[in-house]
Amino acid sequence: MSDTSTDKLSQIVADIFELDAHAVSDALTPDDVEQWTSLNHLRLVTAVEEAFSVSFTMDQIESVRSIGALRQLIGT
Amino acid sequence: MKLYSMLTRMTLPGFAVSLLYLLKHRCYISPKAEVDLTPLIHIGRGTKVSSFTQIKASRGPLRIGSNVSIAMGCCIAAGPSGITIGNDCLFGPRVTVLGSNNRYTQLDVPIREQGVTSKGVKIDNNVWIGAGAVILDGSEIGEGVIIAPNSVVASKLPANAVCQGNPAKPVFRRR
Repeated sequence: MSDTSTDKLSQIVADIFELDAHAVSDALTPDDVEQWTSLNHLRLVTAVEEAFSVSFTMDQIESVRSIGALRQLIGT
Repeated sequence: MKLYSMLTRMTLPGFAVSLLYLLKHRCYISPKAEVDLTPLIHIGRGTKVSSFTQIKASRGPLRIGSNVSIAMGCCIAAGPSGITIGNDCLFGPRVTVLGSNNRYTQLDVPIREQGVTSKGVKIDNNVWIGAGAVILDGSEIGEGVIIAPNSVVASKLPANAVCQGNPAKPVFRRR
């Protein structure tokens, strides 16, 4: 994954969860972020799909339990 | 029709209304709910209406499909253009569905004297409306839509969308 994509994903995550982009890491999980609700999870997925021109299945969406897992999905 | 509704509303006890709806429509109305007893209301088989919910249709038709679950404290009030709710819908607690709007264009006339407009509300099959959401007159909600709690719907929502906000907008498409 290129640095440009890393910054782009971090910025998307930061926007959706109202975090500082520097605070976004691959280890981030819903347990770490109060704003990571089920609805914001769907908003995050939609934003990622639009930004990276990808499309996920429901199984893939439900399997995302960290930013690292989301990054892997974008890369596949 | 209004007088008939008023009289039945004032004289019939809740359990009598529940029994009448059970016998006529095969639906389950809590004795603590307030559902107008009028030919303007049709409720489908297997539908459940919980306590403290109000369903009013003195000015227009109100059609609720079968196997709909309406939780506590909801308010569904049909205007002259009516409200249509499909089958298999889920209404969380304190959902409001309004089938009319007040006119307010005249500054020199009290709003309550300016009458109402009514476009009607259409809710398709298999819709889940979250607690506290408000569905305003003119809304059309497509099949399979999910509305987040406390959202305000005032427009058309496409099928299978997950919607949130005031006004409610799609944030995800179910697949």
